[in-house]
Amino acid sequence: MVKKALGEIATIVGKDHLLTAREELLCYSFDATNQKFLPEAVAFPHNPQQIAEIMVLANRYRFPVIPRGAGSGFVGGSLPVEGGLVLALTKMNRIITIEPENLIAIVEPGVVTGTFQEKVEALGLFYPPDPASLKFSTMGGNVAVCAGGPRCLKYGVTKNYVLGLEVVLPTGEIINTGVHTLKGVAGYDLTSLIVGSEGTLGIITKIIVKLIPLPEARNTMLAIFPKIDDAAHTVSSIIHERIIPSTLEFIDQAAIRCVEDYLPMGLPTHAEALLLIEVDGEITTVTRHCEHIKTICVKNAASEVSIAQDQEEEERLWKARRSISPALLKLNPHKINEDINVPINRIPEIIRRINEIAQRYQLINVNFGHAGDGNIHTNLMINKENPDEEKRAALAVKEIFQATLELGGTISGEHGIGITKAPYLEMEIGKKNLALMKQIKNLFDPNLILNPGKLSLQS
Amino acid sequence: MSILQELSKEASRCVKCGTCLASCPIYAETLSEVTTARGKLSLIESLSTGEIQFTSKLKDLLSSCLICNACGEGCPNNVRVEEILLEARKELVVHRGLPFAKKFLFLLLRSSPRVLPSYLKAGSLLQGLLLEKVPQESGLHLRFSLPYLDKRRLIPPLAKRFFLHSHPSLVKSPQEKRCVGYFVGCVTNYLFPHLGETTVRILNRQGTSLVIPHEQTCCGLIAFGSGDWQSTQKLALSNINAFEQFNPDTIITTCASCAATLKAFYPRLFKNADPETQKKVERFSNKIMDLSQFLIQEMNFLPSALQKSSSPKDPLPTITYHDPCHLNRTLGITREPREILKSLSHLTYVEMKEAARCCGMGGLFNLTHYGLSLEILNHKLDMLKEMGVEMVATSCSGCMLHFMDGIHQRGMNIKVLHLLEVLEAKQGR
Repeated sequence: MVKKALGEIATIVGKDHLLTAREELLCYSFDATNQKFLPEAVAFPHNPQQIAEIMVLANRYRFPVIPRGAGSGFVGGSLPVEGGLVLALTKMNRIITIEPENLIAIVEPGVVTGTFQEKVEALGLFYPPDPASLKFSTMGGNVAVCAGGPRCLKYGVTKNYVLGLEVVLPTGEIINTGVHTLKGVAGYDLTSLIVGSEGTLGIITKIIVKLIPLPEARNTMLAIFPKIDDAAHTVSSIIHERIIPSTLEFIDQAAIRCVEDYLPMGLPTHAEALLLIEVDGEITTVTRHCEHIKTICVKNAASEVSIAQDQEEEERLWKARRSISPALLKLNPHKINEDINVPINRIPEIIRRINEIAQRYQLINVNFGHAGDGNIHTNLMINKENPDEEKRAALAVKEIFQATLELGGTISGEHGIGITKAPYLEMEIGKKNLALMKQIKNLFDPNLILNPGKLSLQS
Repeated sequence: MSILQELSKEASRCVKCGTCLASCPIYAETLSEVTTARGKLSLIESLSTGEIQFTSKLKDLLSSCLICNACGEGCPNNVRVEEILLEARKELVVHRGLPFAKKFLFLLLRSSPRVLPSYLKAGSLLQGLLLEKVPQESGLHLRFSLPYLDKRRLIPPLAKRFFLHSHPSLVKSPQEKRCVGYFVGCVTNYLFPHLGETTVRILNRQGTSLVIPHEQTCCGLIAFGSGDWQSTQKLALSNINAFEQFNPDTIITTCASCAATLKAFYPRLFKNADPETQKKVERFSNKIMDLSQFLIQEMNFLPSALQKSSSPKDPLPTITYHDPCHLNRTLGITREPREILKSLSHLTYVEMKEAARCCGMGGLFNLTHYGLSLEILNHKLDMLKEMGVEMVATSCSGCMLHFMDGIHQRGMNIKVLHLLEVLEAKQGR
């Protein structure tokens, strides 16, 4: 299908910005789900006009178009499941403007989030969303899935910072949504509709984001809990005391043991849970909050609480958290990572239920994540060479999702739905919502050519 | 299991998370997955399933890598990217052969130790015909472009007398306390013999005599990086045999690339050889030490004791250090060069941001991908400019050549020095 249009696409983006060799296409056949779907071509557009022209062709020849940032998503959102043309937006990577006086910035979708953060922080400003992939994932990709991260406990997720967008619609029109101001209520909030739509409603070509002042100071502390319930209760207590740490990370015993085995740093392997807490703000507030949180931890039977005395120690504490992912693969070669989210006070219960489910299906599981906002990353460690184990894992995942929903949670806090969670979407949102989503999709994309096969949108 | 299947098995440990995108200096320029580690690893997997063949496209894609191993270092799953890629290049050569130019070059390298020097000797006499002198520089420009050689490029002239021709195979220190071997390397031998002379002087002053076997030859890195393991093995054995007759307990190198090749890559080359050869290679590799490492660890070298301290009123010239990938990531040496630089009382040491980021040389990558190689270097040069330093030191001849070229082309006023030149700067000038 794309084949017929290749000549025209080459004219639009330039021959050097179009890949068609099988070897090159293979390099665009995967994302962080490690699943494989071969595209028919890959184009690197440089401006919205080129994308608009490509969309006109796509409608004429009816080929799928799949927008892609860094390909670091965990749900397959950028995989060309039905073949077609991958639009790699990495070369649209200009930071168009940073306006400290208006507290906004405008960026192209290919800008790497971490690079953008460094630039604004040099000006004393702050763009908080911090997905673990921030050193390589793109602003466009982050907006498309409404990426979160540890800091969203205090600062909110990507959607809380997007003020407006420039979007190429699947039909080839270029629209601008939202505002350049910190407020704006003119008409339906199309910006919010497109943020998190996973590239199914349009191709984001410009992003207007809100910036806030960079906090003056921050500090990190580590609390050790012999009993997991005490750790969970501490999380609730801290929030209840109306302190909002910038991050509040939870690590369970299986993860502690893994990390300690991988990179011995003196973590107590007998402890059932660790909390890694970061506070930020004015220096005096940071000191006061650290002390207050320490008291709360001790009151909740923490066996040890250490506050980082300098940057080096802070770095050491964070190292434990960052080592989890690589360390886990020592348990088994493959991990199924689900990012369920429950109300903060249901954390102890969901962890109990997850562990029970994993045990029943004889699976190794490890839980860690952003406990402060109830976003738990539950990891089933399996070996895919064992098909039976893979089957058991699939059943366990479904039960974990059911338990999450029963506790008033959601099946995805920050990764999105893509293809891997598509079968479970209806479980959470119901038939009516899904039908409405399909109608919206049809309105935007009558020929269903933009990122097909995602979000359960196909009838 | 075939070699390809073995490689594919290791490659399949990559979960395609994308962390390698953040550290790859080539991806930073191309912004295309075809140059990333996870892209290349996926190609190796596809190769083993027969989905693709040893095509010239595949050769191009696998060659666009500096082998700097920044991806491997940052990989959350510790996938051995550099090892897999180098082996895949070897398989490519097995299946496709080498391009003519490389075949000729490696043939020349592995011929008897007399052949290459005599060609280069002729070159040294005739270089004025092809090349013209760059005003105010000790470098040359091509009078016209040649294949692989851009006209912009600054080419250091071949030395009038090669180092190995002008030194006996044993240079005794008057206060001999110990004796070590010295592996000279091509750049020092043919282009910068003064580096070799400085090495000899520094070590002699420390009471160390040197054996410098004349039969030593190129370390073979350029052949190894191109997948020609046969030529590299031949060169390796020449070098190992050259030193064996003198049997020094330590062999010093002053070039990071040679050091990495002799110490880390030789054992890999012979991992399937007979046990006796393996042992012989290992014995040799274990003796290799970078000069900075030897001075600090074995000699308790305190350069400040040698230097006159300048009057505190004069602001001292500033110097920074660029970590060669082969010294830093391959051999893990980062502390010693800095200790030496920091201890010098006639210079102020300033740490470079991203000092370990690859300069973009990558051996023959610099010839086959010259434009890209310079773009990658520009990041380092921008950093030097921002820091406003007067000198940059490093310990790899490849990095040195590349920095010299780039700095010359941008008309920057920054001196590129080998670490050991800095040690002698005070006495020398």
